[in-house]
Amino acid sequence: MVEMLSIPMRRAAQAALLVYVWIWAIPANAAISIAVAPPLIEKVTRPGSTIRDMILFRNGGTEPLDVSVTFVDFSVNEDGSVAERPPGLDPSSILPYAQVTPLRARVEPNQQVNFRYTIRTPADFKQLRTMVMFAGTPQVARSGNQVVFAPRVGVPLYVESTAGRPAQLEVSDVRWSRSSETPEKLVLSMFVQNAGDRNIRPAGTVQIRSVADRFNQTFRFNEGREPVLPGQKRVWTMTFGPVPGGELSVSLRFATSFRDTFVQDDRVPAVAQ
Amino acid sequence: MRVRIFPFIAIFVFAAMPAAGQVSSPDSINVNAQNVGAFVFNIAQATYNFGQISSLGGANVGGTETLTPSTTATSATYTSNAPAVTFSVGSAPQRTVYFYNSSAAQTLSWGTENDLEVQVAGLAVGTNCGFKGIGVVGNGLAGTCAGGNLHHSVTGVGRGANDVDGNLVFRVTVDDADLTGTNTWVVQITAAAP
Repeated sequence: MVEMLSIPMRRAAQAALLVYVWIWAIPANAAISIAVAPPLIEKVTRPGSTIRDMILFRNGGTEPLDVSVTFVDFSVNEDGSVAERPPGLDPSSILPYAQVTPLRARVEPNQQVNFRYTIRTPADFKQLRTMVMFAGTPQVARSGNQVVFAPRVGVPLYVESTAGRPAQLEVSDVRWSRSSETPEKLVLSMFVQNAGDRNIRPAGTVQIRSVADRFNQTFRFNEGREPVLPGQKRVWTMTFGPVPGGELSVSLRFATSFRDTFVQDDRVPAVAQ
Repeated sequence: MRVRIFPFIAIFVFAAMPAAGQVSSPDSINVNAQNVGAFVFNIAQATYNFGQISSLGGANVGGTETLTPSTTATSATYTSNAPAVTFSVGSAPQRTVYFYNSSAAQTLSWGTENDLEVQVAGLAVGTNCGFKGIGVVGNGLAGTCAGGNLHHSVTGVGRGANDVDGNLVFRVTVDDADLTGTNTWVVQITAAAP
């Protein structure tokens, strides 16, 4: 068995959570304020190994919370779409191999709880994943015809095998158009498919220039760092702008694997007068 | 002339080897980055009160705000004002966030679960899915408005100036056939990113 998270790294994670909460634009006296760290977990390991780590949960609000931890699995359908599944049924589910403690906790205002998890990976796997859900129900006095808010946040947890093939994004049918609602925005539409065994969160840039370079701006591709899961297919759309109404040249560049880059230059006609 | 090159080679080789702390064990490789980040979900208030309401559309005595009902021959619907309940979501690093209803089954004194509907409003990006009954749960990561999904594909959710501020809007319908009494609805809204 192997301890995966060193003491210095735990302390760094706790300090990071405190720093991020302090500098956050949290509404003054928010009744409910949930912070989790890390927000995303991606680990790579050999089959048959053990992972131990933690997720930090902090109640920054003014009400005590009854916090429960559950798992929601998500898988890729045959048509490539992503769908949630009852926990533990999908072959990619981490649930048969994972333990979390505690599963419930009362967290007082300004209190932080460490939820520790252990994952014992099987001898044969490519990617295991789940969404670890933290639901907080405020302990408040109840009255008639009242709505009580119980926010829930998810921390995606991915464990990928060193034996898995690297992510490989296949791209086709790239199209540019102007948004019908807001013509000063450009809409990118393309079909992508991940043929590998690992996630890819493709990063890149979109450079948009007008004639004679009077307008020249570079936007970030996949600003939300969305992943394309193994086997996932999707029509991916992104919006960039604002941009001028004249004819534009567009240079699209983004990573499709750890070594490959997709490059395509296009022209977008001027807005029809 | 005999040249002693062994010490030079030895130093070179050790310099090329990874430092002991980078590979923690012979069984596995931890490739976590040191940048931890955080995900934050805030709601300004813990509850919202409709107060006393009626299928006749009378005043909501004891409610959080004065609601103007919309009446029909057999029911009345009370709708909260858009800014009545504000929320914010932030993330570091930036993520694409999905909002959906994940409320559990309710124990009610009158009406049905879907008499209470919720909508996420005020978000400038992503796709809004309108009002959904709290009895309908969502498949949040599908990127569609199916089921109880409330608002999806909110890109570039960051922190500070890039965190996302929105509102929760509620409406409740009271039918003539509903029993008298009071309800407490526990509405669970999920904010998640893949």
